[in-house]
Amino acid sequence: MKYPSRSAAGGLVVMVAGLVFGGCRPIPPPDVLATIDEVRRAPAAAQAKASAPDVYAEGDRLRREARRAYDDGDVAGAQIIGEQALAAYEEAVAVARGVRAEQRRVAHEAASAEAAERLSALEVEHQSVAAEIAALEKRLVVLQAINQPLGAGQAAGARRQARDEATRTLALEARLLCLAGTMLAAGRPKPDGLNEAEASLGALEPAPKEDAETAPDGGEGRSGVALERAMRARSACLRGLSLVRRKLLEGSGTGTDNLGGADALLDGLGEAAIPSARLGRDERGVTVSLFGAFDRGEATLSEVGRRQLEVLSEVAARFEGPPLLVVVHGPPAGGRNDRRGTTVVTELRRRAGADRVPDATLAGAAQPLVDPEGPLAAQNERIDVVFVTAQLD
Amino acid sequence: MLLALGLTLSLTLSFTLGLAPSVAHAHGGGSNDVPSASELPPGPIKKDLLGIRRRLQTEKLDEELLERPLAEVLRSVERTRGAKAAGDARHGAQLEQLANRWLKAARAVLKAVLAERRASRAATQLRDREQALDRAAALLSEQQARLGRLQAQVAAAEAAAKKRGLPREEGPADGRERGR
Repeated sequence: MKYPSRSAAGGLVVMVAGLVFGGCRPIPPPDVLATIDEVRRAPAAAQAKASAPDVYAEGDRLRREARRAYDDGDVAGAQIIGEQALAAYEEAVAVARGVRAEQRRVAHEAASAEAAERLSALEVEHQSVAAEIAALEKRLVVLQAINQPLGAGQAAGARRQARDEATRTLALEARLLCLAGTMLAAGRPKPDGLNEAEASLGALEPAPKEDAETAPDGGEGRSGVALERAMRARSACLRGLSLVRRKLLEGSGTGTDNLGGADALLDGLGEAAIPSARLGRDERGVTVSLFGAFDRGEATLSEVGRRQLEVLSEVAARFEGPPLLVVVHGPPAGGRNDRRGTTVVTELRRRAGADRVPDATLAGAAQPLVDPEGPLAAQNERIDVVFVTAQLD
Repeated sequence: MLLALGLTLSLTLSFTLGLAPSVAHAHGGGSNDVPSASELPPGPIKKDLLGIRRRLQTEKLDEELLERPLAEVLRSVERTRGAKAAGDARHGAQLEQLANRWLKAARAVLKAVLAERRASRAATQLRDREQALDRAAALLSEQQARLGRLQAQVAAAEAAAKKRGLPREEGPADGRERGR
């Protein structure tokens, strides 16, 4: 028998060993399993774990399942399930992105709403300051008209116009002051000063515009006289109102206490927060200016107007002393202002008592808050409800 | 000689059976030959895929945003078809689940993108409002300054009127006389 040579036997050994250690070497895990581990370590996945825990947990479950499939020898299954895990992690990352975006949106919208609220408050303040400016400008025109010597040369048309406007404003104020005095006297004998003031109101009718324009001095003399009359009437009415107040205070304790002071009333009105209303005080007492009480151009109460009158009536019922003077502001429009006044007066009489609320006074356009030709002219249309108080503080 | 032959054979086997990535892309995982969405057989996956595409168009979003998950859906569908054709029902079902997983991921990405767009719009609105707020505050400051100036003017005019003397109770002639 011939035995194989020593070198041939060695070759056989190497071949068998190669087959055992090389060919039968275990199949390595699919790359996806390593990729999953990398994906899990990425910062986005860490965020996803916090923001989308359910989806992330599903990824973890699939990762374990893939590993188990590999251990069981199902390499193809490990690959596929591993890819499912990758898809789940990707979904978790996307869900987390969505959650963070939603959180940003909510935060932005909250800040935006706050900014809108602040903006709205600023606009209210802006309007208030604008009204104050308009009132001061008006006052300045009146004062300049007063300080301008009459007949000092030919008056410019603009100056005469300013005087006429000032006259109308002063005449209205005079009428309202006298009316406030009468209301406050309420059946008691009126002081002589008030009777005289009321008599002076009759002389306040201004000269027709056409006459003024055709007058030789351009109406300067007439407008100056009318202004002087209006100023005197206003002073007289204010004096009359003061006399009534003095009498009431002298007789305090005899049924006049409840006519009240302005401070407490102003506080009460402030707390009531009447919508779209502005509070103020002047020689008559406390004024509540109601804006948007009526549908635009109509005499029908708006939703805001109904609420305004409801709240106002509640306050009026609480402070039952001061009579209520209703003044309708706005350019004349075929009886619309009259109807508006009647509506407000009826409503207030029903809730606050008929004897406290006389018929409304129509102010027309004599007391504008802002430029009647300007973009905010609609603000001139308003209802003033004046609580005529016995004391100014 | 035989030693060298044995060594070569064993190395070749090692590469063939052990190191070659034979399972790395199970059932056509490595194939680039995938159908388009419209070429898919009718079914819920095709319906969802086309729905997502339509949404992208409706929302005027770039399709690239969902390129990867949508491509993975198509690839998975193709692999499912291959596995089932080879009679491998178990892996075919797993591949179908994979397609659905990628669909879910695509929907989540789409939702995230839309949420990010809403957040971006909210941020723009906030910025606009803050700018409006700044403008309004500046305007109010100007107005308050103007108010202050007017108050001073009125005070001066009132002082002048007081000095001039308020009208007395006499008739209109008095006013005319004083004026002249």
